[in-house]
Amino acid sequence: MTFRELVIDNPLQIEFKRAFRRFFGVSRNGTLNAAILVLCVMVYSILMLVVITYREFMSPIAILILQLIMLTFIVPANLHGAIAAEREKRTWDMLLVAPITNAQIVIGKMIGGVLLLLFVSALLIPATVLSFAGDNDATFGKVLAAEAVVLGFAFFLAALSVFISARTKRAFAAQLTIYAVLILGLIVWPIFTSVLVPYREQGYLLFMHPYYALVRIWDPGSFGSMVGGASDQGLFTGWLQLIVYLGAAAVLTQVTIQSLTNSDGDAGPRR
Amino acid sequence: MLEVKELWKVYGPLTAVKGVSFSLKPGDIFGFIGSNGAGKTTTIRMISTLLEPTHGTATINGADIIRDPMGVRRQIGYMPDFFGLYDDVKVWEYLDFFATIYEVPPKQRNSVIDNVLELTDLTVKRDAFVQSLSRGMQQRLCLARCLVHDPALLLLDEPASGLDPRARAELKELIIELGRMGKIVIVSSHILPELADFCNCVGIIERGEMLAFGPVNQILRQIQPTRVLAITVLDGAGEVRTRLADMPHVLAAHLEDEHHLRVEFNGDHEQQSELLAALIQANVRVVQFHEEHANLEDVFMRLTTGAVQ
Ligand SMILES: Nc1ncnc2c1ncn2[C@@H]1O[C@H](COP(=O)(O)OP(=O)(O)OP(=O)(O)O)[C@@H](O)[C@H]1O
Ligand SMILES: [Mg+2]
Repeated sequence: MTFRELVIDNPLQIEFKRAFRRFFGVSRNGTLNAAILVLCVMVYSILMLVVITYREFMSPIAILILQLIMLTFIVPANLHGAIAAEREKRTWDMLLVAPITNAQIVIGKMIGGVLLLLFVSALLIPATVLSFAGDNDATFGKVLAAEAVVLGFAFFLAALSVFISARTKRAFAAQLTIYAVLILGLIVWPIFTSVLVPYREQGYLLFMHPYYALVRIWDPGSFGSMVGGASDQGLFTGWLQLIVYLGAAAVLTQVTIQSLTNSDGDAGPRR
Repeated sequence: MLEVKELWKVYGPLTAVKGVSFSLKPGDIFGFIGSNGAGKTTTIRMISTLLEPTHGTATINGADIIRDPMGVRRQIGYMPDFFGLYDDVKVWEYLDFFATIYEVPPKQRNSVIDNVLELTDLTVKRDAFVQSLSRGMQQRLCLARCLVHDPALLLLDEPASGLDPRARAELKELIIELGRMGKIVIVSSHILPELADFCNCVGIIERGEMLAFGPVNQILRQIQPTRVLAITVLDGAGEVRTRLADMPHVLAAHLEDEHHLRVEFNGDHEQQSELLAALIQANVRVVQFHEEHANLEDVFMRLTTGAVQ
């Protein structure tokens, strides 16, 4: 399986055309989607205006957290239907009987989501740069490390969305499941760990928590100063998180590729 | 050449397919008949590599569905019983997408798309959006999609459902044409009379078992070894009956009412014409004299019990 087969010549690139059309008015929901698009442009313009006007009071971390929040919602919204919706619309079996490998299908489905998350991230770069003006502690290195956490988590979330989508028969069920997993991981787990272990050791259990990691990267002293030095210094470099996220994304994607099932959820003789 | 060898599919306590075997050669149009839940779709899905058989296998021109599923996929066109089409793509884009997946060289794609559109009578809808097509047109588009890579085997699971009588007749023509092009076509259907006219081979499946397989005529003869002649006379049917009973090759003669008789006959066509001549010479006033053909429906009803599992 070469990069060319998986990405450049992947027939599933037709998905971009479909997504594009869905937003520019040729299909039934065209008007609604166009309205959402206009709303997005307006919100973006307001954001930029606010950042430009109040840049003296801004910090890049605010923009990075905004980026993380946006990606936490956009990535599952974009990818939850990747496979579940094909099952639901009964197009899935016709793709499976074609001479296309599981890897091509899964990677092809993910390319669109990855491009979208990169696009959204790119849109926020100007705001991040502008807000340096308001934060004396902001360094280029810290912003890069935080960006590594945000993008790493987004990639992981893309892989997780497709993984769950591949195991569901309905797009809506897939979406609910993804958000349920996110609530468990991002909200319930921190509460649980705060009860389970002393505050200063929580960092070990929240290593993969992107919001926690962002705060720790941005302000390494914050937790330590409160309890006399967290015992996990050195864990939150950002790059370490990126590596683990990418590793987990790769494993999830590999499992998805190897366990694709047909529209009834039965396995066919696929390798 | 398609060879299906002892296919089994077990779903927990239920065995959906129990050792189905048959083989077909290029040009064969195979009608796959069975009541609801008999195992047609399961068999077809196993052959199309969507479902792993519990035992057994099938090969298409040497490619084995278990050992070489990619080789099989390149040679088959599968039309599911229920299917959907992608929204937000145009008819030609939909076909182009599948032509790409099926590795049709880029230079040939346009002409291939034009050909299959022509064959399925969709040329005028080339630039229409897929979701704007009627159900019958979508059915034909799905069939067009199966044809972009010129497959050796077509698996059509109830392709006629949802079609109006005209579209059905057109589909029939198309299937006959595909057989003439040397493809193996497997069509499953409930509508038996429809299958009888264009399939050169039928298989009857019930509760996962193939009860009969072979050319239509051969199956009919198995079911009904003697021929039945229906005779209508103007008067004196009782007298004719006694006369008939003594004639050569007549096994039995039954009186239906005062005008109609049914004769079980084991002679050939020549002896049949001699029988008619003898009746007329004997001044029997014959109104009608014809052979009653059993049809697929009779065969189906007689072979199957209608039991489902
Ligand atoms: N995924 C599955 N899990 C369990 N049982 C199944 C599954 N798919 C099919 N069956 C069972 O297998 C049997 C055969 O089903 P199949 O769909 O092959 O029948 P069919 O001949 O195509 O019927 P129909 O004419 O209604 O389409 C049925 O009893 C069905 O309930
Ligand atoms: Mg069926």
